[in-house]
Amino acid sequence: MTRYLMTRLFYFFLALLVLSVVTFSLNWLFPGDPLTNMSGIRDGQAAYNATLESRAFDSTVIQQYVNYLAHITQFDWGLSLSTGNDVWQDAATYLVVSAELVLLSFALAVLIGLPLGMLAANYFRHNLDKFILTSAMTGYSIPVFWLAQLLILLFAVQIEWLPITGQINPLYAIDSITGSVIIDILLSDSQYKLAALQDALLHLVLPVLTLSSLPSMLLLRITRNQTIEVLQKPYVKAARARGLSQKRLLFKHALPNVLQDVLPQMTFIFGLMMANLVIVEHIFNWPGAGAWLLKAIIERDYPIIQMVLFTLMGLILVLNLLVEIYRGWRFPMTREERYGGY
Amino acid sequence: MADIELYYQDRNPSPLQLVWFAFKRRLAPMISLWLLGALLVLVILAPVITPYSANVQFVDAVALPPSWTHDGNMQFLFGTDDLGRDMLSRLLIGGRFSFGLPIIMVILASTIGIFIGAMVGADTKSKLRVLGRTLDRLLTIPSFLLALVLIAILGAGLGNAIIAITLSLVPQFIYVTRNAVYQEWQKDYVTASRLNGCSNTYLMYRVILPNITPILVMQLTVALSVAIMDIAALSFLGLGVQSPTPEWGSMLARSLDEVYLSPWSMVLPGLSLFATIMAINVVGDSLRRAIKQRMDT
Amino acid sequence: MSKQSIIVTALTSFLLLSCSEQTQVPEPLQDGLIYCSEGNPESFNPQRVTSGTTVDATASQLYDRLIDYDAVQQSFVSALATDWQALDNGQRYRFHLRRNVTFHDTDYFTPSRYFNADDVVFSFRRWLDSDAPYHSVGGGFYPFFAATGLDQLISQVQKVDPYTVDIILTHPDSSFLANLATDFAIILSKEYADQLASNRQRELIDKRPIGTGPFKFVAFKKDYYIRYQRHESYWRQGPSIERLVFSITPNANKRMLKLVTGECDVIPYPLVSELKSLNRKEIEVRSEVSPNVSFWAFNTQRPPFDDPRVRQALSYAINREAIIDTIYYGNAELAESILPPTSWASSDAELKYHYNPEKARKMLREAGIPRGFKMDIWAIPVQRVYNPNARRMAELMQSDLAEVGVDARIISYEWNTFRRRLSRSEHDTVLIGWYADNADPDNFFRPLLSCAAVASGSNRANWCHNGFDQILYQAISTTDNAQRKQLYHSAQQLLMQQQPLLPIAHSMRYQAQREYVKGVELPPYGGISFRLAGKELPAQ
Repeated sequence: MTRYLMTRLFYFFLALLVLSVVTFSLNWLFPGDPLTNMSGIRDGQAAYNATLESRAFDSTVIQQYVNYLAHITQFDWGLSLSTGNDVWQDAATYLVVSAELVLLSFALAVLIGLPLGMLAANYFRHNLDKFILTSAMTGYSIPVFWLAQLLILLFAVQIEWLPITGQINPLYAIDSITGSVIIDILLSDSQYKLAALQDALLHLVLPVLTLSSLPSMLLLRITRNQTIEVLQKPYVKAARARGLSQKRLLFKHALPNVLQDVLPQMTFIFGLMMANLVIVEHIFNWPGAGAWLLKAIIERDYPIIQMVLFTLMGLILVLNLLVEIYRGWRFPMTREERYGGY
Repeated sequence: MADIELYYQDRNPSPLQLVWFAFKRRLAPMISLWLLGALLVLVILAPVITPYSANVQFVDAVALPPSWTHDGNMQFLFGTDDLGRDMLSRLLIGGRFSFGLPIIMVILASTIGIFIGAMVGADTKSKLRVLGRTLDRLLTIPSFLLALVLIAILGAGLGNAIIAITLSLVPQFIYVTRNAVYQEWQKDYVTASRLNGCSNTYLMYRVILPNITPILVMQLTVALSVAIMDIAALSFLGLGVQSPTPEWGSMLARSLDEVYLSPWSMVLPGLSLFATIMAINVVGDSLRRAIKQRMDT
Repeated sequence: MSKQSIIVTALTSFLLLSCSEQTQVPEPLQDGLIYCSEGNPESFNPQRVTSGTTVDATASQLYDRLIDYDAVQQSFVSALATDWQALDNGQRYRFHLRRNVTFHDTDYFTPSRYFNADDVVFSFRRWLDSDAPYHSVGGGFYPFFAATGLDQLISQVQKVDPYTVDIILTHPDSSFLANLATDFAIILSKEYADQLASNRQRELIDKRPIGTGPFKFVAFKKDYYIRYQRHESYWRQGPSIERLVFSITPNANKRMLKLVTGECDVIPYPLVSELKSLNRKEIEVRSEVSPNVSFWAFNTQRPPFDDPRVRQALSYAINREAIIDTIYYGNAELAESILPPTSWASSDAELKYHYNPEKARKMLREAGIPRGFKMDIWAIPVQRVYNPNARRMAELMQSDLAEVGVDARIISYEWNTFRRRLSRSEHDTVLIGWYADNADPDNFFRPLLSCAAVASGSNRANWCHNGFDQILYQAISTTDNAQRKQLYHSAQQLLMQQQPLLPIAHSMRYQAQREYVKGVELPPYGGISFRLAGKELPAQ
């Protein structure tokens, strides 16, 4: 296990390093002055010359890169080109906003995808299976931005159940301390916590529903296919021959093995959610990292682009690492997996 | 003249053919395939068959509903948009950008990706392994984010969106090809051919490639639906195709301002996107099933 | 996983709860109002801008002026100045100031004294005197005062006693009081400025504003919201709502949907025809005749737009009737001149540039413009009173221009970036407009097309014509309205001939709101005011 852990960690850091090289070289690929792109300080500003020195721009590229690494490990991503604020300080709440959205959507996706997938597999080739599978395929093919608009028109405008944009009605005057609206409400000294919480949860419904649609349908299909495969394995047949109930068979015997194959796909699903996050946050006006990234791209705010991209991609890598470690620990047999395994 | 079989001939269909036989038997994927084929023809012929030019504005026919509704007009089958442009013509021409372009992008990306993937997969020396495994991890990053990075570098616009999406599709092809080649490489029939003294090139293109074609075809369908989704999403966000060029994603985005006055201008492009992606996904899914069936038997 | 599932269960149960019973409207929602504004303010000081978005968010909410203009009575009324006299043949104005007026008391500033003459002198010197310590804070650029020439007109601002101020002019000017009553001539707190200066935080004066207005500033999150709180000790009748929020919603469609769902109480620039087709009784659409004009300005410093023939030819190429029909849905009047017909100085001018692609083609060829000539149309990314959808208008014009062999590209940036680049004159042509800050016809000419406005960046055509400037100068030097009308008539004739811009439309001003909102009126001049805003919620 130690060896397994070491190699995984080694590759993880190597991948992070490659990622940092990529973001570092972005400074040169973006139009304009690399130093400005990196630090957010424009030529002609008083601090420019000092930055030139502190970023080792009078030295070799290698030096500059090492310097860059030192800066980003201290979370110094420079200043925003449009507002002049420190990027990382602004980033904290944006990232937490997104984290809340992603976690809830992911939870919902798992709650929908896993049970329905198992259900469909249980009724393999029955009409129920076909029905679930067809709806999954439909849900999986709807473009997120279209789905969002349809949901808005249906739930917000036609039957007026749900609000459309933002985290909470701003009149509740909940200060954004952490970024996560639920935690912020609990931390606040507002007299109307319960009402605010209810309002916030209503605001969450549409974005969470939209963001979880694709991953849940994906998860459903993967779960179903894996479960069917597992259910045809000899050990399941043997267990069935011993007279075990279908329920016990599914949850006690098949589920662990299904999870073992579903887990590696989680990273992929998580990645897809990161991409859709940009669209969902844009449509529902959420003050999250995705919408922030999009605005930065439109306004050409390079320090922000770099920071958000590195963080989003880094998070995908972290999740990948966690999944691998968990898998290696829970299912030791996967540790020996051959190169290029799954 | 009928063939006279003098000798017993054992016809061995290629792996792709085998998959095709399994695929053909099911109805839904075949309908999807026909649908895609028809769409492709329509899109290629679009400039010839569209009733009007996509950008011509009929000032006296602004926001006309589709012809099957009460206020519709047969002159404009799918109605007109808020500037009086014929929806049918815009949808068809838009298909060139939303469906035609992704096909070209996928072909480009797959050529590059498969070539590199085959080279890397055939390389059994361990030097590249570290790099390969590192790249594996980076490949979990979705193509849409990569495309966003490239757009950030290149700036918004149709040309740049094409470059961005094409490049962002390449890594997945490398990954799939490399894994497939690597797995085949371990198999006995490859070893046998190697013992026969086949050159590496021959091994790759005559021995291994036919066996991994079904997997590559499946990856093609996956990449195609991703490419369609990505270019529509970029245009929806205003980073891809610019006006007045009709593209389903950008048509959808600009239709939002009159959802109530002319709902069809939002429904039609969305529906086209949805139907196309759905058809591709159904085809891809059935391919996957057919491949699995072949593997199992 | 179990924790998350609890959250999700909670979520669904709350959903059900909220659907099953109509709960009472919680208190914060009862005494608060949400206005869905169309963009970010550039700054919290209207002295530094001309943008309507910034004026809306600041002028009437955070600040007061010396005098106000009452559009109903068509006269100037007292505000921070209780009364005033013109002395020395209109070269000196004496203002007597109101007593016991308090500045905002916030968590970043606590005033220790009432408003007095020092504040007036400080506020005027900020933009008047380039040696004033605060002049250069934020760039030292005061476009409205530069464009109207107010900074040249006023030679001195003198404190006579703590509650009397004299303003001395270099020459009599008939538009002086009108300019003083605009949203830009606001009063800042000198005490706050001194406090910031001693903390070396001068730049905060426009980021965390202090004024005497009916609301005080609480928080601003770029792209999301601005929060205000009622100023409890406001010197005149204030609002009955306690909290005001500007929820920033650039997308017109989203703004409308948010009004429908009740997430906004008031929205500017509604999609009028959409809302009317929705036909909901709880939503009111109000309209008001508003002195404004939308136009297509040619950057006359860039060839080939420096050639009047090219500008005339392009003007002939545009089908303005179609624009009125499709962009304004008929809720606007085709503009013959930049001066709206409602102005007293307006004279019947005959429409010169009828849609005529033939003629346009011919004139372009004569001016030496080849077929397939490429140009940019910059379209403002936000809705304005004068233009509900500039991008769509640009698309219409794009196809009109294609007809005469001109290949136009549409350019748009985020609003503040757009304005910045525009003032740097990076454009070929731009679709923009103007609405009056005051009732004086001069307001349509000098801020838009004078040479001084080229320097201040509000002359979008970068058009500087000495003869034209001469006429404008004559027009403001006299108080005889008949003579002024004559002069403005000849100014318009000259414009028609030179065509630095193509006037497109005079639009109605619209605002949509929930019917329970009271007291949010549409002022004909200047930004929106929530001074008397209130809510009358239906009984539960």
